[in-house]
Amino acid sequence: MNKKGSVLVVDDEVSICEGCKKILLKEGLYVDTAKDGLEAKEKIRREKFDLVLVDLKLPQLSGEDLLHWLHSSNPDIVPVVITGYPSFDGAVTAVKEGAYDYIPKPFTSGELRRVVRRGLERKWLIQEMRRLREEQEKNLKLLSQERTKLKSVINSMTDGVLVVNRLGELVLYNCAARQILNLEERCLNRPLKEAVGNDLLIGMINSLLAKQKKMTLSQEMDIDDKNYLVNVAAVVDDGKLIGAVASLKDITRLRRFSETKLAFLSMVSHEIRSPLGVIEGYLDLILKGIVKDEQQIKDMMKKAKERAQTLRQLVDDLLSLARMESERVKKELVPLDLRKIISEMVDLYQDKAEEKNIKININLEKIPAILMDRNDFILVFTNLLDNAIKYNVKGGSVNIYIKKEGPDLCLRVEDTGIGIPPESRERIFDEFYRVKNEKTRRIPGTGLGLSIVQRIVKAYQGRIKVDSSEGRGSVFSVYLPLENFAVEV
Amino acid sequence: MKNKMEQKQTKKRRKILLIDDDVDFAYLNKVFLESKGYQVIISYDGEEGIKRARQTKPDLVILDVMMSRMTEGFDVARELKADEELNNIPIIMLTAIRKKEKLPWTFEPDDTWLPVNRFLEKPISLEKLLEEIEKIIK
Repeated sequence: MNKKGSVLVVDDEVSICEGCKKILLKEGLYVDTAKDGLEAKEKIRREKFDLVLVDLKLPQLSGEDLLHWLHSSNPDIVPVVITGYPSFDGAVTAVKEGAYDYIPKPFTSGELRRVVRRGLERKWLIQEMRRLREEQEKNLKLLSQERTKLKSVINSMTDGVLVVNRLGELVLYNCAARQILNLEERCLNRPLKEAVGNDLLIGMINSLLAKQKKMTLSQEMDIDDKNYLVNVAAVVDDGKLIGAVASLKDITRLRRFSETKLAFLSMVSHEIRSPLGVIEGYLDLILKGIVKDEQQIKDMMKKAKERAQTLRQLVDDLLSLARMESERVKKELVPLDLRKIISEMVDLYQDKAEEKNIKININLEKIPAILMDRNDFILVFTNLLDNAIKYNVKGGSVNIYIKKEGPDLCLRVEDTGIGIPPESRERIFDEFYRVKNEKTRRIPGTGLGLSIVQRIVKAYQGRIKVDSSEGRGSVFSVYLPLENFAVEV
Repeated sequence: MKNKMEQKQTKKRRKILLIDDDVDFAYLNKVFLESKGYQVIISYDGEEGIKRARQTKPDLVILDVMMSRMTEGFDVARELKADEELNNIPIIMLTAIRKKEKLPWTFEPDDTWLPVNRFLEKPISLEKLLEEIEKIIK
């Protein structure tokens, strides 16, 4: 294809055709000729022409018809009419039929060159215009797609987003922001003060807009029982402040978590300070000579030592809890012979039991080895056993069972002790909770044992059940799904 | 010598009701304060404490905040202050939670609940407690 353009000359006069061809070839154009309308149609169908020179008086198919056909089927081709009789009528007809220009016969080579150049220029202009228009349309489409995409992204965000212009008018917000701030339907483009009912947020945004520089402000805020972290950042374009964007992040859960942690720490410090104060007090009474009776001194030393032991137990329990919280500490699952461990542990607690003349009975069914972390099982069992002794009555008994119960392995520790008051049964697994009454007052404890037991049991997808009757005793049953942890031997 | 005896006699009439669920804390403070000439009555829970206050009409109540419930001491103080016969008894409140620690209640006495005479942090030394007691009931 000729870059400068291709021209078809249609005329029944061969001399005209050849003459035009000669002149236009010199211009560096591609030129072809046709002697009548039908041949022209044929050639136009086969080849691509930019411009057609048409004599209106043609055999076979008239110039008008050819123009008509061109206009409807090849609108890209610029038609220029050659008229034998320069007349106003002919020109009008030609233009009506879609001719771009006309050249009256006879014409000079200069006239021909000018007309053809003008026609081709027009063709390039039209093409360029069309290209530009198409490009623009494409860009607009892309832009609107981008805008829709951006809107979807902003609306999908869980954080609330608000954008305010330099004048303090709300120009953009997302769904989350509308929900958090209870924004009304028609708040867009309205001054922040009218659109948003939160003075704290308005103050933050206004103070940032007033500063007139690139910066961010950050503040925690309570809105409708929830806590948010609000960040306001300057929107800067070309070094100029053009507005502010605020994001609201829901940190309610984070806050609750840190409050729980704080409350836990407070409890820990309370639980540590109390025994320390008591130990110090007893020592003071003895050192200052306020207590002189030897038996009384001995008695106080014993009490102080008991509190020190509880304190040590507290530290151990806290470490156990911390270890459970830490993800880095992996459980060492090994096949355990629970019957053997239970017997060993009972031996360790025998002295304590004998102090209160308590008899420990062991009823252990033959069970498969269980995949468990040894320390975990020991913590579960010794905490239950320790409680069964501590909260028992003098001369009472503790019954330990291990057996299969349905799909579970059941470890049961029964005591004949003081029992748990009904109102406390739900709370005994809470950290630091201890049943406090006349009967328990002198029993040492950290309030953490059963929460440790429960955490471990849950970690093994097990459950724990409590049956208790005040004045008669308590039964703690731990169920572990055999399916998960039994080792077939 | 006679003078000192007299002084001790006067003090002995001073009755302190100590309400604290920590058996050891109550016991050792009782031993100490009795050695200083006070009469000390112990209650291990709020309900019994109020009962004992009505029976014995003490000169001072020392009250622990955290007993079987986190804020049991507050309720006891409120009830004592609501009782016409008991509301002039000064109260010293003890707590093992420090003021700085954020907790869901206030430590500052305000109109909504009660004016207690002193808030003291546990652990508290024997001497410090005595000093505070003497500030209130000399």
